[in-house]
Amino acid sequence: MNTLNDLKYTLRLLKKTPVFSLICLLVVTFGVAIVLILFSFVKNTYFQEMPFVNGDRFVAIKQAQKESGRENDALPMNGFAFNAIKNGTHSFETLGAFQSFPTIVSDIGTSGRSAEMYLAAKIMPNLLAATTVNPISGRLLHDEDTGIDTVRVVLISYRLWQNYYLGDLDIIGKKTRMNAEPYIIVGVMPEGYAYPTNYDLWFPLAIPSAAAVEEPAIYLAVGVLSRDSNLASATADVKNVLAQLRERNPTIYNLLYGAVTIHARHTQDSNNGTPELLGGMALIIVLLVCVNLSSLFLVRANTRMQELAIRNAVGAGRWQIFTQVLTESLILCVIGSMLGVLIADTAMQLLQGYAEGLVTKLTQRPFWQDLTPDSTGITFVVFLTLTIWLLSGSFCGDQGIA
Amino acid sequence: MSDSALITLKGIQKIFYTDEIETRALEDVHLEIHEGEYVSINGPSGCGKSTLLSVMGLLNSSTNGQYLLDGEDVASLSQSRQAQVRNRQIGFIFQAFNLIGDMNVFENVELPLTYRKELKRKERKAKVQEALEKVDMAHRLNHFPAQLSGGQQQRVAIARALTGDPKVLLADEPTGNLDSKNAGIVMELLDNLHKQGSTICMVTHDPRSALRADRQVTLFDGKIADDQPTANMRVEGMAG
Repeated sequence: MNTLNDLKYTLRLLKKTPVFSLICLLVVTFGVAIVLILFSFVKNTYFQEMPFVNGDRFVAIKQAQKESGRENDALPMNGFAFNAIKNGTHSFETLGAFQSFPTIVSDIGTSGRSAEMYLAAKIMPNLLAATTVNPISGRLLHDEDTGIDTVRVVLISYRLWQNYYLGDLDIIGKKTRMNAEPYIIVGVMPEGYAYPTNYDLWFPLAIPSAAAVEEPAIYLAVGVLSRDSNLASATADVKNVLAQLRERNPTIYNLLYGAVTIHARHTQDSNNGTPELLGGMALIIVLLVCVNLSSLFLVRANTRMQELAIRNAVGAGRWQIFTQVLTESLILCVIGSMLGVLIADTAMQLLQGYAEGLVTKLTQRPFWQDLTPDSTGITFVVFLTLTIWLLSGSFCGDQGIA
Repeated sequence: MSDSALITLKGIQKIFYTDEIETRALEDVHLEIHEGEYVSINGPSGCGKSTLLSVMGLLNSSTNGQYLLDGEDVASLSQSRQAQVRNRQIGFIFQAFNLIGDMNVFENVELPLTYRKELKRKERKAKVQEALEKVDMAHRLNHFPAQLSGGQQQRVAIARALTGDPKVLLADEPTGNLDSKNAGIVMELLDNLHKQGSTICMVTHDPRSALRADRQVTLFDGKIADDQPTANMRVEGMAG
């Protein structure tokens, strides 16, 4: 077999049948583009490591209603359960809780602007410290800020500082009004920081050690795994604690089990099966592309029967005929995939811009979400191309041998 | 001509099965072809000539019987080994030329050589050039089959059959698609190759072409009805 000859001949065939080549390229290009967009969205939204030191160890703790711990049954927990998990587990280097709520910022005197609503997190200060991200101005929240008699403080995002306070350089220490209550701004976080999800304001949270067992469940628990634990061991750890809670308080905790997931999966839409739905759609598209290409390549193999018979007569073995036929599908798959990546990249940038135009202050996307295809996306495309090529090409290769 | 048989067919039977109908194309065929022989296989349409040639060329397997090529039982080889045998020991010439339309003359003739890993491009080029010179087509290297006449295409097909230095040339009605002038040129070419030592086995129903061979094998209903040197037939013809 002579690879160069095969390649030259195949390119000549493709050039001779431009409509066939174009249709195949369109099928591969748009198939790869759509699947890459779905893959990048799912991966960069629900499976992304946090952009912090040891970002892979940032996790969320879920209460689930079933033994399977399926995340779409996830529920917030109350202070009593949080304390039980905090005190009863050894899998976490840092463990904390937060609660989100919309907040009206109404500092008309300082900014000269009307009241605006932003999403705020009441968060345990140790969680902010665990991200090892320092404010660009001022300080982080401290445990001391949570005292009843202390001055009420707030940490604000870069975006809020720029948009609402117009980048006021003397912002630290200034009084402002949040939900009609006076607060002192103690720090401004760097641009893009919105931990744990998409927040512009952070208020200090403390969960009293004497939280009552019948408290409402309003907290989401997040943290950082210790070095010697992983998701499975941490889940077992949490389940064990919840089992004890069920035993001691069967009327309240009877249906609750636990699960530890990577941090990116604590968001609401992660819990309603969106990643699985998008993954399923991607799989269906891959199968459709393979079926379409297989049909096209089968027709092509039939038109090449005489040529393949001649090759066979002059001494081409089965493998040589198989690879000859596969060369054509490989060229189409590789070129189609490369075009698919270009289209996906462009489409993602357009979609990202479009999505940013749609969001409000309360519906910001998770701060770690970057929809641009990355190196994992490219590796995925290589794998995808090989899959499409082998699945669709092998049918016509078989047909060629037959 | 050597004493040892290059091709030995022993009790070859070929049955085709289609829709539960059994067609016996070849029945108990015994045949020996020696190195350097020029054999013509004759007979009426449907007598099994082309089937016999395809069995000898390993394009079809026999239902029963033994096929020895240069002493090796080639019928029992694996498909990939049979492909190697076709590539190295057998050269095919078809009635319809069977050149690949999207390959130029050089590429068509080079094709069998591309399946030999040991040959470098330079060696392949030299062999192709030599084969095309033998058929006087070296000046049409870059032409495509559609740009050639039928006679020229058949000469290119002969060059393709020769380029791998096969032990035997199998020709299936090589002049069947040609006018008399081009048919004459092609037959002349086969005569010359035979004189240079090539072993040729040709299927034809054209008596004039058959007379050029040393020996004539006549098939009838899948069986060998007659097998004798052409010289004897000429004598018989004259006597008759």
